[in-house]
Amino acid sequence: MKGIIFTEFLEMVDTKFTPETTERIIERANVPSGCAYTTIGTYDHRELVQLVVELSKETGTNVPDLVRTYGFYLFERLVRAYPRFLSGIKDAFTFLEGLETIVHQEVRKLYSDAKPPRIICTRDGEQRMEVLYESERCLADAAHGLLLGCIDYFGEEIDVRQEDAEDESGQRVRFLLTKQA
Amino acid sequence: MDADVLKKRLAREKIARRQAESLLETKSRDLFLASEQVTKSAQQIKAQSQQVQAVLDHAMAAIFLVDENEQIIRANRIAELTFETAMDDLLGMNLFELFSADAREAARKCDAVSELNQEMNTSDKTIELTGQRKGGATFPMELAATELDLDGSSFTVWICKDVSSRKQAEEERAKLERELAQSQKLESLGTLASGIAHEINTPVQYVSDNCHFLRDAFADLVAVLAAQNDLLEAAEAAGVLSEAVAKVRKSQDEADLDFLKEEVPSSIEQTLDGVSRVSKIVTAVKEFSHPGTAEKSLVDLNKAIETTLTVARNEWKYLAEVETDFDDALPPVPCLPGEFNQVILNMVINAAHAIESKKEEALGKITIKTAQRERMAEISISDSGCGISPEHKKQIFDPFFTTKGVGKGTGQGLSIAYASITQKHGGTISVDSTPDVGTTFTIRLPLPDETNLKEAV
Ligand code: HEM
Repeated sequence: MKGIIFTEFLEMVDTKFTPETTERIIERANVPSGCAYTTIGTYDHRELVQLVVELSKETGTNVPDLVRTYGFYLFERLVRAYPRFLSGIKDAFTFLEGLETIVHQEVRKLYSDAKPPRIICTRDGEQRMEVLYESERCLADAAHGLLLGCIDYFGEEIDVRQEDAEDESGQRVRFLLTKQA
Repeated sequence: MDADVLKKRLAREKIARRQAESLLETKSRDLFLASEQVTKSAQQIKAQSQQVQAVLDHAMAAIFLVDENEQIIRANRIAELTFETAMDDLLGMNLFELFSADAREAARKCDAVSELNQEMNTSDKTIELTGQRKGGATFPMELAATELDLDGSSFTVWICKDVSSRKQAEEERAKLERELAQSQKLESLGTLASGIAHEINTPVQYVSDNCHFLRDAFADLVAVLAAQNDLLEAAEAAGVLSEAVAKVRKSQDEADLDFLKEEVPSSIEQTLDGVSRVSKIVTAVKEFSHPGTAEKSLVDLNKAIETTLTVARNEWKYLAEVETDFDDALPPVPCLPGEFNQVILNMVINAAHAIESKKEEALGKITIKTAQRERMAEISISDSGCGISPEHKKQIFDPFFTTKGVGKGTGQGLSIAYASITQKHGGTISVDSTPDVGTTFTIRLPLPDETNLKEAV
């Protein structure tokens, strides 16, 4: 997975907790890369999982909540890094519909080794949209957080419900987004 | 942040920076190699495409690549030339606009044929169609089509060959062959005719000589008879030999001597007249046929026409009266005598046929005039026949054009006359006709200029 996902995670720990917390979890996780991440490098996504597990131990917050929180935080950071993807877009549904074909597609162009998830959006009338997440990395919680971050960014009121997974693997997860009147 | 944390971060940042730098280098090298590869491929493709275009442009046929909507998406230089249409106009044009209206359907069928070719893996099936140049002129062409699939879409390749020059050459050869056959036939007929004329001449000569002899001899006999008659009258007056005299008188009465004295000379005169006519015809046939004269000589046109009229008498005498109005001052004209006679013969026969088609009780009229107009000798042949309709007028000089019934004409006469007068004699031939009133053909032949004439004389 691309380095930006890792550097932003460490940044978040720095700001939401303390630099010392960051150093501690790095030391405990003891991952192969030594956490010397550069945004343009590519690293094993399990390193991120290990870091989150250590952060959970350190803070006592459960892993899914932490990942979701990170997702929420990450959206704003990604927008800052790639503002052009949002120019001219005024609502979350429109943005999400272009995610697979425009945003993640651009990512694939920039990095031939990038493997962003498949995000398939299906509209159900004006108010509702189904978002299907598909990835071997099973980071549906991150997707959940990113969705919330996205909705927050546009300042909309949209309820996000994560459906029960069809299988145990967590490789395919469905979200139901409903606009609040 | 304490110093310890900062140190750790600095160490990580250094590693990360080196990683980033080496990543950047790898990427730029990859990029360079990729771009080099792309440039090379682009050059190759360009060279290949130029080769292909050169091959296409030097093909001896118009070649089109056509998409499923019948639109031309590629064409070669010959296509521009053949259809007189610039490349910019050809591209995007509907292919079938290049064919004449009635050929479009056939071409569409060829499209179907192309599928057939595909199945049988052959492409040598061509059809003949009429193409249309930008100005509207049409031309015969051969067409072949093949279907092909490129990147999942289907295209057709059309190869159109302008075959007008080949067709023209074929037609010219056929025409030459016909002309040759015709002139060979005339040649052998001429040889035959002059042979026969020669054969007839000898007996005609002694028939004529004998008739002259008989005429003179009879005159002598009449004188003898007159003397004898004097004797008879004297005997009768003297009343002697009355028995013998009565016998002679009886035989005179039986022979109807007075009648004989009157009729024998005139019958001999008639015979002489007939014989002289035979001899005139025989001479005309001989002069007319001129076997083997392939060189021009100075010809007295008036005499030549007179000869031809004599030979062709049988063709017109029951249909028309012929009137001639010759310019006696017409100088001799350089001509191929055999061909000139043939032309006049064809004209006279045509005139007679035109009169015949009019189906009138009374005899028609054929008038032949000669005159000198500036440096041209002019011969006009007019008839009071059925005339030529305006729509046929354009075609009358075409080979094999005929309006006559089967067995009446080959449609060759006027076309041969035309070719002979215009090509071999450097003259002109024109026609003026009013339906149901008559037709006048006017032939003009160049006279030799003064200097030439002096040399020739
Ligand atoms: C401007 C907006 C976004 C940008 C630029 C962006 C870009 C990226 C990048 C670069 C990656 C790493 C891919 C890799 O290394 O293989 C990634 C991963 C991911 N993105 Fe996005 N993304 C954006 C918005 C979102 C949103 C709105 C969602 C919510 C559904 C989302 C869901 C994910 C997830 C879940 C991953 C983690 C990888 C995985 O699960 O397989 N992204 N994205």
